[in-house]
Amino acid sequence: MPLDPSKFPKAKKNILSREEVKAILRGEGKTRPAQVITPLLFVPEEQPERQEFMQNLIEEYPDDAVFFEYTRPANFGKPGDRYVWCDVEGADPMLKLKPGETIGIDEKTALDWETIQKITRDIPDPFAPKSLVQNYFEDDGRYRGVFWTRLSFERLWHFRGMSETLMDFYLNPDEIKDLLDRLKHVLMRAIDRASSDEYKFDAIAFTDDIGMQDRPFFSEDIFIEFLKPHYKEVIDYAHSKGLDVWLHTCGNVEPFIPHFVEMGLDVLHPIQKYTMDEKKIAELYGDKICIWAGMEVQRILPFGTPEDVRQEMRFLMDTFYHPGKGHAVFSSGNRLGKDIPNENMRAFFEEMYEYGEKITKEGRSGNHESPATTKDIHP
Amino acid sequence: MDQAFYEELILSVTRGKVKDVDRLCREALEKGVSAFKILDDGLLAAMQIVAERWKNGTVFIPEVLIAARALNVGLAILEPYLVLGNQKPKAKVVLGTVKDDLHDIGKNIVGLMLKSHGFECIDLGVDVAPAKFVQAVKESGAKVVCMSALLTTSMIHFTEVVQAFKEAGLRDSVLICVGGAPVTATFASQIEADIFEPDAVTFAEHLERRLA
Repeated sequence: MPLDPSKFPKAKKNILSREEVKAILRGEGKTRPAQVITPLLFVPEEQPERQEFMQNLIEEYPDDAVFFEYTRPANFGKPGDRYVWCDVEGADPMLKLKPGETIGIDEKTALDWETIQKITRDIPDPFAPKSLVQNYFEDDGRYRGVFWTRLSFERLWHFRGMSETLMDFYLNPDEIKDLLDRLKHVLMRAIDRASSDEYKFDAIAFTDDIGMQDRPFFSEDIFIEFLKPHYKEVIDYAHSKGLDVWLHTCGNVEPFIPHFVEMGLDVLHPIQKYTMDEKKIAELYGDKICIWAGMEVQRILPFGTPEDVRQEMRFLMDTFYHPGKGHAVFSSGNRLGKDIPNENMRAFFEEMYEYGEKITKEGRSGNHESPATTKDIHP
Repeated sequence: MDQAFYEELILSVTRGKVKDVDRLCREALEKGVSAFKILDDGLLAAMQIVAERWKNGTVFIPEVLIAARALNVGLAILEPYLVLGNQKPKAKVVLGTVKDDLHDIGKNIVGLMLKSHGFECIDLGVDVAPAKFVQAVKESGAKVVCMSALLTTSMIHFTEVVQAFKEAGLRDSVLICVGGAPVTATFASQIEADIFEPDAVTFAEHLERRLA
């Protein structure tokens, strides 16, 4: 499907085609950097004014690649349900809470191993729902992908709770490996559907937050023993079906990046600021993997000035984009929260396009430092 | 008990070997070793090693959690003897995540680390309103309040908790401690928090020093 510019009547930019984005991913991009923000553009319904603002902004600056999201399986269902993570009657821990008792996100779906063993082994089945993709629209010539949230560690802790999962790596390693094996088959079915004639996506994207602010959640040894084989099988399978693989993983994941490269991951997001040295990562791996560089959302976007945002965008592009090759696309580092001022949001979109054009024509200036190097940005 | 005993106990804690910790603590008590000595030279010495390794970046959360779990098994065995020795908890600490924030892994790890340093923790859970923090302090007599937030949109509620303690006339009688991924030392200072540390291990040590 060739790109049809008339489908973007309010656009203030040219849109990149599927082939142009693919070229960027492979380090053969001759165009400006691609904008890929909308997977992270979550605006709750209770903010109608914000929704309208963002809708207008995205019409002015449409993404160069489109990502849809698979409808997530419910955490709990009843026996016979095919698109749920747990079909064991009465297993939901929330049903057992006492009045006034609270439970955190990290533990609220946590199950014991006995219950996990009772779950029907081949659920959830991504082919079970008639329609699986939210807000779907037909191919318009742009690169298209679909998000399946929670690749492995995130899914493990949704089964077991965060604390238990982290200890399970030592205390219940066989059970963890068995759970990952089950999960692999679910992911392969999700890949099958993404690559089927029904959707024909170019990519499948996963989330798996395995980093904290100052270090990963777990050691490289644990990654190599448990997650790397799982990631590798899923990535190989996606590639065999013609899909690129994009991965969002927050926090400091520096020890794992060489493994991502080795296993053939195509795109890595976001190289979170304040957790890793972006220049070092770009220098070591920038020509080996496409970086989906994310504008920082804990300090700069919500609490910086519009000029801070523009400066940071110039820094990110100078750091990660290789004019004439590409190997980087740009976005925010995580969900765009309600505390980000509209003027910062506009600066973010505008500068991504304007500096992207400039850097493509004139090359990297090398003069742009992050505002974080000279300012302590905070609320 | 000889040095080899304490080395085995320390190794059992740092490797999270719960059954071994259980066995070794009971054996030592049966042989008349003081619970305080088992605690200081075995269990707490082991956690000190884990803390050092954390600071050096050679261990991660799983290793801290399994060690804390093993330490708690040992503590449960020693506890009756420690009470007989009239040892009082170091201080009561109230902790919770602030309003609108349900992310509690950090808070839970802080709780584990504080317990391993001998603090008594009153965990209010998640999405805790400012008044509930104040009420918990009034009821328990806690001298320390720990609150955490993962989201930039919820960490602004720290200020409301500080204000609630001021309005209750309790601000000067509690140490207010804040933490969480987006929190910085500058922000903590700006909202008049007393202690900020970037991680649970460092924080537990800081609090122990502060209250020494």
